[in-house]
Amino acid sequence: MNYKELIKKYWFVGVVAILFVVFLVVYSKETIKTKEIKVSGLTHDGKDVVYKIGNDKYFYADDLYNELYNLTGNSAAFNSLFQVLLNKEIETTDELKTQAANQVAGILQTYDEETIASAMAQAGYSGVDALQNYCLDSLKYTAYMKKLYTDNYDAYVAPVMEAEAPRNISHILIKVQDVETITNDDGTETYKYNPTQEETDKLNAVLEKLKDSSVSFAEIATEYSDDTSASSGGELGLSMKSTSNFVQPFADAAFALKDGEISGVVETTYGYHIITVTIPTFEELLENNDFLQVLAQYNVNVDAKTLVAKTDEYGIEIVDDNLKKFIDENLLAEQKAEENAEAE
Amino acid sequence: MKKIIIAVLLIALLTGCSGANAKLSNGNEVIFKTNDKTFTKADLYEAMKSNDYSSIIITKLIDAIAEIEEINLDEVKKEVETSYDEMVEQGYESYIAYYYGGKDTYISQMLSSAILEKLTESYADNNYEDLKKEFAPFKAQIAYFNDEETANKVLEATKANEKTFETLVAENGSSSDATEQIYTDNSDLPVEVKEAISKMNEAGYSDVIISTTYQSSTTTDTTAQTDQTVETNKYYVVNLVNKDVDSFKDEFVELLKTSLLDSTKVINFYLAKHDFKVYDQKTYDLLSKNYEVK
Repeated sequence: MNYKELIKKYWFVGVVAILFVVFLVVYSKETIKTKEIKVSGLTHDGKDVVYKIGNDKYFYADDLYNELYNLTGNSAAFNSLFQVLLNKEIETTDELKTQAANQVAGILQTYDEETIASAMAQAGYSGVDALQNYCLDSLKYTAYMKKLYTDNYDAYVAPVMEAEAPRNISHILIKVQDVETITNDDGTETYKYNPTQEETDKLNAVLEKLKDSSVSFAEIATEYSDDTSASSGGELGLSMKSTSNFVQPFADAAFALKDGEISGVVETTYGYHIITVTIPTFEELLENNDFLQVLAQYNVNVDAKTLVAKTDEYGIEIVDDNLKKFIDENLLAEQKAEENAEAE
Repeated sequence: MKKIIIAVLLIALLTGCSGANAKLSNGNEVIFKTNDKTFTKADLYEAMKSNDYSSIIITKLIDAIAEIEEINLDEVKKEVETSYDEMVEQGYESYIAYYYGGKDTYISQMLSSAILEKLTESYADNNYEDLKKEFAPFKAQIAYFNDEETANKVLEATKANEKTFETLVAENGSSSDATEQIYTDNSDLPVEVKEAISKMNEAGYSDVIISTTYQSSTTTDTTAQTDQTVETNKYYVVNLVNKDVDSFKDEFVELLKTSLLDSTKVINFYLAKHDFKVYDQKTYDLLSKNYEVK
């Protein structure tokens, strides 16, 4: 018998052997990787069992679903819907995939698998393997929000710019050691300064330098400022009214300045300050996470509301009554009230 | 036909490598659908299961065990409701409303703890002999001093009945609590003290026991880093009062119920007693981190 006839006769033995080898490899890898016991399933009364205790106490998958649903069902269902809508709204480009891959590499270098898996679970993703999807979805979300704010600047951004006055603040500090804080009858504070000659001379030197247009504010700050920001040219970074923790006189002066303007001498309990500001462009602000967070605080649920309004546009049908009710009550209530008012 | 059956069995063997996943009866019910995708209850179930739901399982298990052990759940609920009324009388109603979301949620959360307390009491009462061996409790007064001379002075004065051991300990600058109390094998005592007590067969005072601890520290000056190990001695005196556990059984059992037994141990006991078995891999993986699961 030649080899072709042998194969024809015993082909099934070959298939069984291959499947058996694959089984050994997979089982060994799984066991070595996880060192876990693999549980077998059980069906009782036609339903899948999660656990059994005692002679007759069964807890079914259906029971677990109900328990989980009571706690997180609506929000979990909505999160899944939100993700589908987001994926329809923002295309998965090669650029986004590369950015996500870079983020994944950074995260894997910084955190261990257990920490990552735990964070993934809290965000609704299962295991370390979902990290790429998590990063991609986060990047898509940021892209969506930037587009939303850009396309709806007047509605969502302008009020925040008015209220928060975001700006990059820099200052030069001349410390005065002997400052007496006086609390007035109305609760306000004023300061009585007893500067040394050296401190006064330093302030005067700064004021003189500021008159020289060939020298930048940053250079003067680096040379003279007594604050730790001296090493970065006096820069304190982006500040907004609700998130800054400056003492009142400093904040009042800094948030009143126009773009590029330099203040006079501002007195605080630390000493003398000279302050300047630059007002970033909206495009620059969109790259700042602190600013995006403040925008989100002013525009609660605007992400969910605007996306869910597109379910019809994207041909999505919500079948589950609980999910419909959740969306109506939590996201569309205001819109429906406005529509009803207009109709009346 | 035989070949097909064998092939199917082999493929099933391969899929069995991943562990069972208990499925919903109505998993195909649709939550929402798009032109190319359907999101079902089964999908939602998997999404919700991605979080740690072990506390839900443990709460349900405690309820089930309580039923099997015939704990009077109505009575437990009444006790919890009484404690709620007492909290309200003491002015904690708004606290409960803020942190628990109201009376019903408070009672629901406290009920599980209350049932577990009953199970712990039952476990302590019914496993006294085993727990006695496990914890090896004894009654003693134990104090330590910073120098051997003072420890010896206190020991001699106590034996001479000049003053009580507690008074002498307090008068000689010791910060230890020399009141008579129950200690166990798990108590936070130095190895040398435990060894000395294990050799004492009768009530009475030990000799002074020296316990040495070593503490490493690193100091850095401008030129070098220096590792130092500091050796500290403490001088213990033990007054062994009673090693006969049966003579203070009630106190020991009370201590078991209130502080010695942790909930995981108690739950593990009842899981084993009632042949607890899990048939869902994710649930097994979650529970087996902290509990003995089959």
